[in-house]
Amino acid sequence: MDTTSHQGGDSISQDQFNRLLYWLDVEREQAGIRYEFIRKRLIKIFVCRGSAIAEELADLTINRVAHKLPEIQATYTGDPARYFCGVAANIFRESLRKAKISAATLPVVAPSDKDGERDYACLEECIGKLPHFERDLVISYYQQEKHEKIDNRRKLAERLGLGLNALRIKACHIRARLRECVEKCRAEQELPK
Amino acid sequence: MIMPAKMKDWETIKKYLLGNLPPEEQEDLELWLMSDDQAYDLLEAVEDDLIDASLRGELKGSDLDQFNSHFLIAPERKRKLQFSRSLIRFIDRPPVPERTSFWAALRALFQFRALVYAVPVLLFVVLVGSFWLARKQNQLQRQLDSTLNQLAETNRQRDELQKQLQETQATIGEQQKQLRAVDTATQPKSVGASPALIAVNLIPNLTRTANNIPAVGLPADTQFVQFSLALLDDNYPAYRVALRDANGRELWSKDGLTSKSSPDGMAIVFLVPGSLLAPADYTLTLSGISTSKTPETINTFLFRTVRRP
Repeated sequence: MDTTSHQGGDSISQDQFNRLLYWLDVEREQAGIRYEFIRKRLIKIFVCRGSAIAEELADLTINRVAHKLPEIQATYTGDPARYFCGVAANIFRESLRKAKISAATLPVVAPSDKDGERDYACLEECIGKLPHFERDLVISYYQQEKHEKIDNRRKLAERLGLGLNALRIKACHIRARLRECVEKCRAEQELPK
Repeated sequence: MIMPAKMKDWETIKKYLLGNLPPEEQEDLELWLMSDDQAYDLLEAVEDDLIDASLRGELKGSDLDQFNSHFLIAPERKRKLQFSRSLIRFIDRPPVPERTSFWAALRALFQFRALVYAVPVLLFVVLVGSFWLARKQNQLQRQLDSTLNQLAETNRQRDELQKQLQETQATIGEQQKQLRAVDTATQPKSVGASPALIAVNLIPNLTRTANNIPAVGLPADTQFVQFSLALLDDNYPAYRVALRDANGRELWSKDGLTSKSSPDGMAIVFLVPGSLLAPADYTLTLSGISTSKTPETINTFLFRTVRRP
């Protein structure tokens, strides 16, 4: 785990970091898992709020909490994750004031035909590596549109004996693995030969 | 104060992702995201659906504007969009018939958990059923064989009874013939001066000594002598009588005789031609004929004929 701050400026010492972990959980290993859980969600929060520097803001939030910890640790009750939420909201507002990024967005550029074909070939290869059951599931789950899609997913969940949310999460995990596989494939092809 | 967060529905998550949620609800959703283990995955799933909807042209108006201006700010989401183009192209491709081997098809079939249990049970039922059917067929075959054997035995008994009936009918015919002959023979006796028929009754065990030999007086023109041999026990279905001279030479015999009721009890009655009986000593040997057809001697009757004027 990186215990120094990034571009945000705030930095924390090893003692502060250790204290933060202890606050999250007295067991060091569990504390590490909890730390990753919180950081991952903080990044998602900043992405969802429209930040282009979500990871940076997440680390800034964690460092801010570590600095505040001696003041609040004795009196704060409840899940520490909630405290992170409040600090994250402040950090985001500060970032808006500093960068004035609200309207500045880059246009989405569609990939070239060549890149599209390369990605498609990678995807075919990655889907081919999936177990048969997962391949069928991901194709069935994403194949319909609009209302047909809802009915289709409900029937699929019934057939597999899963709840609808459990099916959504399962399909999402397979899709995430496929995306990683395609990105890895693309990176390998972009390497100079 | 932060309130406890509850599970969010699909539409609320979509609004949050597009930046359309009011600040209070936004903080509530983020609190849920930080505290619920499933929240992150569900958020990712709605993100994927939102990206797919944009690529399929399902996002319209302000949703589409927010998608482009807010949702796609993060580089991570641009990468997701790029990946999703390929995925939708793959999913929407015309179906290509896949060549699968028999074993692959079988493996795919067994991915349905119920079949993993159903197939062995079905095989077991078929095996037990076949075994039971084979046993049943064997049993029925044995019953059929036994019935056919019984039928053959019944036919054989019927044939035997038919044969016995024919023999009985023949015996009756013979007896009727004898009766007619007796009737014919007795006719002149009642009208003529010389008797055509002499009746002789012989009793067993009275012929042991020479003094006790019964004498039968016969006129010269006697046509028949009717002997009646008394039976002590009537144990045979048929009898045989043989006439012998003093030297033991058989002069005459008769088979198939049956007992008749007489004033002295059961007796064997038969006719002997008078011409055979010259004045001399004779014996009549009575034999019983059992079902084995072997004659068994019952008694010997000694008598003497004398000429009577």
